[in-house]
Amino acid sequence: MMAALSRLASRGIDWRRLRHRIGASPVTVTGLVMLGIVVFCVGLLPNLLAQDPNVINLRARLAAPSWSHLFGTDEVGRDIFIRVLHGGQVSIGVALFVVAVSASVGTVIGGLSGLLGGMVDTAIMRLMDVVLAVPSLVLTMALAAALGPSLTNAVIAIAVVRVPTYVRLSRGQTLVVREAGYVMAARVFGARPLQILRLHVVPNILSPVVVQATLDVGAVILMVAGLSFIGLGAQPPAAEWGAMVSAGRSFILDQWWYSAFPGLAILFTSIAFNLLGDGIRDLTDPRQKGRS
Amino acid sequence: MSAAIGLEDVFVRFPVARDWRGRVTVQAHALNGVSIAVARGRTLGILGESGCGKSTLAQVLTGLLPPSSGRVTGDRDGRISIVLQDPNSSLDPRMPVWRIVTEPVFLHAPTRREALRAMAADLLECVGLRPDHVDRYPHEFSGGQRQRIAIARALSSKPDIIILDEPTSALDVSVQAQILNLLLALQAELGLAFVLISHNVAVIRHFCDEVAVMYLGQIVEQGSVDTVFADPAHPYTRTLLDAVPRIGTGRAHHALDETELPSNRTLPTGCFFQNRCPMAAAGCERPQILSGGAGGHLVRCHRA
Repeated sequence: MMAALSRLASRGIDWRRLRHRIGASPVTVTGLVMLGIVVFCVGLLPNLLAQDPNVINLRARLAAPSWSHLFGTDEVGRDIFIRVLHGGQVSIGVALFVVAVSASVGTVIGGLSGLLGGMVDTAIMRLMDVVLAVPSLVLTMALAAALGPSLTNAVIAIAVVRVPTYVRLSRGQTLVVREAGYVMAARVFGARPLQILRLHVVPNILSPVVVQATLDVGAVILMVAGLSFIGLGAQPPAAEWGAMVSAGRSFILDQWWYSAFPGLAILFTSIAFNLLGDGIRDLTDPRQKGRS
Repeated sequence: MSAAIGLEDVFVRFPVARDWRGRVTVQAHALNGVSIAVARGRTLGILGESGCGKSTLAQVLTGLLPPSSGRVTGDRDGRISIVLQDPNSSLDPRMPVWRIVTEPVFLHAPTRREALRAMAADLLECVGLRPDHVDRYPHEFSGGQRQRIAIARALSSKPDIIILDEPTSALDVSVQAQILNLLLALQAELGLAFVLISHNVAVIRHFCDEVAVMYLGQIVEQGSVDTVFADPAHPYTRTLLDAVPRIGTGRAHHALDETELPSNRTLPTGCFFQNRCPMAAAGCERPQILSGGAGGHLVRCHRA
C-alpha cells in the first residue's frame, strides 16, 4: 500500500490544482482541520506534557474542570485531560490498525475473487454474505466474547467483521479492471493471477478502497469504544475512551465531566474522519475530474 | 518455410445457458473448424465483420483460450506477443512507460530496475519514441504514441509471432499508416510473423501477404492477398470488397439486402452464407468444404 501511495505521489500530481479543489470543498477543509487538531492533541501533546496518565492523587478525587485539571479528575484523582490524550493513542491507533488490516486483507481476497471468478468467487462471496447478514456489532461482540475480553481480541474481532465490506468493494472494482486491455495483455505475456493482482488490479482499485478506509476509521473508533464500554475491549486501568466513558457512567449525574470529555473526544474524531473520507471521495470522483 | 504457428481444425464453443442440473443447453459456436499457418517473416490477415470469430481466433492463438477441439501447432512459450486494438485501455494508467514496456520480461525473471529502464529506452527508440520518455505515464502520450508503446511492449519478450488485433482501428487515419509502416519495418528487421486481425480491407491489402476471410467462425476464402483481392471467388468476399466505399460510385451493386449475421447459437445447416448470398442456388443446402484452386487459393463455395 505504501509503495502504491508513493507511486501515486510520484505521478506528478498538480499540487496547486489539488489545493484549489480541496479549498473549494468546505467539508474536506473542516475534516482536515479537525483531524489536524486530533493529531496534535493525541500525537504530540502527551509527549510535550510528559505526564503519566495513571498517576493517582487521592486528595484531588473527582475534581471539577479547572485550570490545573482542564477536564477534571476521576474517582482516584487521575487527570482526565491527560487520560483522554493517552486514551486517544489507544483508540485511534487501534482503529487505524484494524482498518489497515481489514482493508488490505479484504482487497486481496476481493481482488482474487473477482479475478479468478467461477467457483472460487462464488464460495468467497457466499461466505462474505453470511458475515454481512449478521449485524456487525452483534457479531463483533460474539467474537470478542468468545475470544475473551482483551484489547487484542477486540481488534481481531472488529477486523474480521470489517473484511467483507472491502471484499465486496474491491471485487466489484476488479470486475471492471479485469476487462481492461492491459490485463488481457498481461495474460498473454504469461502473468499469473497473483502478479496481475499486484501489478494491475490493486493499483487501479486503490482510490475507492482508500475512501472507504478513511470513512471506516470513524466507525471503528466507535466500535472499539463500544466494546471497551461493555468490558470486552481495553481493560482498566488502561486509558481508552470507551472504557473511560464506561467507568464514568456511575458518576454521570454528579461528575458529568468524567464521561463527557472522553465521549466528546470520540465524537470529534469520528466526525473528523468521516468528513475527510467524504472529501476524498468527492476529490477522486471521476465525474469531478473535469471541474477545476 | 516452416510454420511459426498454426491452427489445425480448431473449434471453439462457449456455454451460453445451462439447465438446473448444470448441463449446457445453449452453446455459442465461435470457431467452426479453422486451420491456418503463418511462416516467419510473413503476415496473415484475418478479415471479417464483427462477430465472425476474429477475437476468439486471437485468444486461441495467444493461448488465452483452449480450443474445444483441434490443435494449436508451433511452440508458443514466450514467443507470442500481442498488440491490442485500443491503446487507451491496453496500457495500465498507473504504470510508468518503462514498466509497461518491460512487463513481459520482469513477469518471468526479476530484473534490476536499471537494466529494465535501459531496455525500455532501447525499445522506445526502436519504435520511434524518445528514449528519455521512459518515466512518463500513458496519459502523457497521443493515441499513435501509445500504440507505439504497445508495440515496444510486444517486442520486449523477443517474440517470433505478434498477433495484431485491429492495431490501427482506434487511431486517426493519418497515424494508421505510420503505425503500419513501423510494423513492416520491424518485420523486415526481425523476421517476425504477424497475424493481423482486421475488418478493414484497405489495411489488409496494404499490409498482408496472405488473407483469410472469415464468416461465422469459418474461413470462407484464403489465399495470397493479390489473388484474393484481384479475383475474389467467394460471394461473401466479393460483398466485402464491394462494401468498401469508392468515390464516384453509388450504392455498391452487390450490397446485401439481408444484413444480419446469422446467430452462432444454432449453426445453419449447409452453407453458412446461403441466407445472405446473392448466388444461392441448389446445392447450397449441403455443407460446403474449403477446397483448393491454383496457387493455394482456397474457397468454401461449390459455385465458385
